[in-house]
Amino acid sequence: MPNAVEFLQSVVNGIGVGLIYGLVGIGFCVIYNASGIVNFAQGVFVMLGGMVCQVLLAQLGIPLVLAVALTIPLVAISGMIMELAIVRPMMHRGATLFAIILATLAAQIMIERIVLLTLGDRPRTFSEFTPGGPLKIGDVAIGYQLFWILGCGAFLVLLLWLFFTRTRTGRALRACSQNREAAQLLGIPVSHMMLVAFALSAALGAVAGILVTPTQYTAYNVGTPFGVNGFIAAIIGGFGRAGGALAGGLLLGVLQALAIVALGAGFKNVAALSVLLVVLLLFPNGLFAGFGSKAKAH
Amino acid sequence: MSAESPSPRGVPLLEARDVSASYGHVQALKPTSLHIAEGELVTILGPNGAGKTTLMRALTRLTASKGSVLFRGEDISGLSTHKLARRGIIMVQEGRGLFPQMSVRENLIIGGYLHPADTEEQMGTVFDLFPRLRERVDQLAGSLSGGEQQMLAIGRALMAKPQLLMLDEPSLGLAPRAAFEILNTLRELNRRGIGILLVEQKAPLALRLAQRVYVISLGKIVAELQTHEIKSHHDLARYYLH
Repeated sequence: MPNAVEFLQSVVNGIGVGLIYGLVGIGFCVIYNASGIVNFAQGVFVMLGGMVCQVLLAQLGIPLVLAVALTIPLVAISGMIMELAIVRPMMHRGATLFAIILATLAAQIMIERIVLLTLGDRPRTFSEFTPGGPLKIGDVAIGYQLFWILGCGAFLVLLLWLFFTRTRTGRALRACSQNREAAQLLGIPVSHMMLVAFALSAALGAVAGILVTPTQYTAYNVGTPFGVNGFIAAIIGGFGRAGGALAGGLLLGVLQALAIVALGAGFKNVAALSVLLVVLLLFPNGLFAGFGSKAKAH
Repeated sequence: MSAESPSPRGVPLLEARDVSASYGHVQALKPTSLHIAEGELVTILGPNGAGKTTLMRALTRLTASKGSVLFRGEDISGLSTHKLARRGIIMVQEGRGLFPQMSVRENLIIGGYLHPADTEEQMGTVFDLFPRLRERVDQLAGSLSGGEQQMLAIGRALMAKPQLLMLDEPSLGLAPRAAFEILNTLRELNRRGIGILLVEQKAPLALRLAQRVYVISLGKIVAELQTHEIKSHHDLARYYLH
């Protein structure tokens, strides 16, 4: 059994990685709400965020702030290309949602291969945003990057909340998620909203990738675990609920970290999938739909 | 309340020519033609499953359709639903089509998506028409009563400044008094110059408002009458007036 310090250290580490899962989970929700599609290529945006930023920093020598400012729109454009080149044509041809979802999975593999062929399979990383550290509180060490993750994550969630509740486009996206036909009837261009959703979702993934890369590494194939965990976070929170996805991500990150310290690294995914199963059994519509949905499901 | 730019003299506000629609191999709407004049209130009557809703969906391109549709003489057949809304063709769906997890205010703001600069002024007009909505402005749309939801659905449509307002069964599920109020409001909107195409099960109420009637059966229009003429068609009068 872990001692108190190990326990606290795990919670701290879990919060950091959980926030990243939460951001990926929100990305899933944004696209799902606008289109009904589960974008299984969501994790690839995390990988692209880290890779593009690393290339700009290390190979082109661009300062961090500028690299971040360039990476986010570049990855957002990749999301828009995915919508324009894959999702929209399939929708226009009347493809089923299942086929489109499968196509997003194929897109993930394709993008991973392109990155592998162009940048190689070498793992890459870059320095933490603030050098030095970690900050020691008692025996618990907190890396400075964790503060960046928490701060940027909280700021991003605030920005998203303002976007969805205060802006015309954000409200229109919410309207699309609740009743697409009614939204169209009021003049909202639903296909344009899908493009916005893909761009936003990819940008969220990029931020997550940029934030997390200094704490570990990035490589062409890191997207899948982030995608899977982000997907689980979104399901735990009640698919489609951005706040739920964030809370689901934090819960998942902490439980995984505790499983690693208590049972070993091999139990990380076991913990994630166990949480998913338990949540789905007890709360079929996610934790934040509450017990009411459990009763309804019966 | 409606956008100005009336049709050239003699040109209908909306004219559908041989519009048809299918679900798979089933032709739910056979080639159908109809027209609505500027400022006219026209109702479509017909039994359940006759194709009334399919006709409304075909006209607004929610359902793929064949044939041509002219709006003020201009061919709008190829336009998608949201572009029709930009022309001023706004439909209130059967079941109201609200955004249930948004407040009354947010539903109205979204209704004014095409006219963001006029949102406050337009909202005032809607509240004057439906004072109950002002009292419920911060309440979630999904928690309103059926009558209030229908008020909100119509109010939201008015935010889009319709030139032609299409309503599919606005009195469905409402108590008689609420249904009467809603239909009276439609009469008032029509007086203000908004063209209205109304699908309504409560035929006696609808016939009190409408100037003209189309009767639809088995996916095609079988009769077009002035409202006062319906009494002289004994079979229709027996079916729809009692």
